[in-house]
Amino acid sequence: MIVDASLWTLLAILAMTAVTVFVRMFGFFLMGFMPVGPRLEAGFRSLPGAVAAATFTPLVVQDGPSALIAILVAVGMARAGRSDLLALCVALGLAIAIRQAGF
Amino acid sequence: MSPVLPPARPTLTWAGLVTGARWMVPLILPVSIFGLAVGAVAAQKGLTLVELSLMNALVYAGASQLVALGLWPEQWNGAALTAIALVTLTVNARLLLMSAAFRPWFGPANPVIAYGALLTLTDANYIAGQRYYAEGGRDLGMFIGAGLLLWVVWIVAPIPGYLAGRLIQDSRAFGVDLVMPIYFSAMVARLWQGRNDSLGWLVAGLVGLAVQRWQGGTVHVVVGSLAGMIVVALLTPATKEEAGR
Repeated sequence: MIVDASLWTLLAILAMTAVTVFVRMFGFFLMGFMPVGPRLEAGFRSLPGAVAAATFTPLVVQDGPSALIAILVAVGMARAGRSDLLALCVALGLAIAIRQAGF
Repeated sequence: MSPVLPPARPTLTWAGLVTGARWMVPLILPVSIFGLAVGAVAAQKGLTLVELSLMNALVYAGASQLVALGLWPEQWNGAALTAIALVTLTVNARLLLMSAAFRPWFGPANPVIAYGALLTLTDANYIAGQRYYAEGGRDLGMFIGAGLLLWVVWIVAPIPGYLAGRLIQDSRAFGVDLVMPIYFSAMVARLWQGRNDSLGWLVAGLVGLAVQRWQGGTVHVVVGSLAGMIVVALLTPATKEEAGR
């Protein structure tokens, strides 16, 4: 039972695959027709941070202190030169403690 | 005015593949935990192990898989299929911007290798790749090695989660939902380069929040990050001469 597969599920997985492959390639394809100047390059360089801000701001507002403190601690530790994994462990531990305390 | 040199053709070496895989080592644990959660959700939604593994191998985009599985219908028809595809497209639309960002690096490479490399594009090797490029790295192997290592992790890790079914009963209490936000934030914090980034990221956060409040769903990620990127681009001098350094 856990090894067979239904046609609809397979179709759904293939549809998910198709749209994901499309977005993985299409941005790169489009940029082949546009010159990449200093502005565009600076924009792209800042994009990861913009993605993080746009994704996590609503999450922090919705989730409250545990998410906010965890992210701020992780950012602070990363800026202070600590390893990403250490920052993750400390920040996650703090968040779990805050949540276990009932916030 | 100094002559503009043609962009160097990026290399693809074994050493680069190993370097990329090494960049991802700290991510093996968090990605595995995330994978466990996806496996557990897939089990609850009645997917078979083959279906789950096929999805992990082919889609390889955790956030979209988690959201799509959350909306997985019990009865399938054409409309349900379209809805799942659209949800996946929305959650993954950020990959379009990310793939565009690799044009300066991958552009001069053989197109088959460039597009093949982009098949492994995820948040993790996007951020790591952009950092590597910003530090002067040009080996395509770094990007591919990072993508392939996490791909293997992503196929293996959900299996125990699936088999345990409800292994993680209260994922919030154990902070599973915060693993990716924390890790992503720590990584991007190192990319910060000054006031322009602060302003752009502030705008991205506020626009993201406003659109999320107004629209719900996941489109706020795309709109907010585009707004932040445009702000940074506009704050940047259009030519190197204007910048005066």
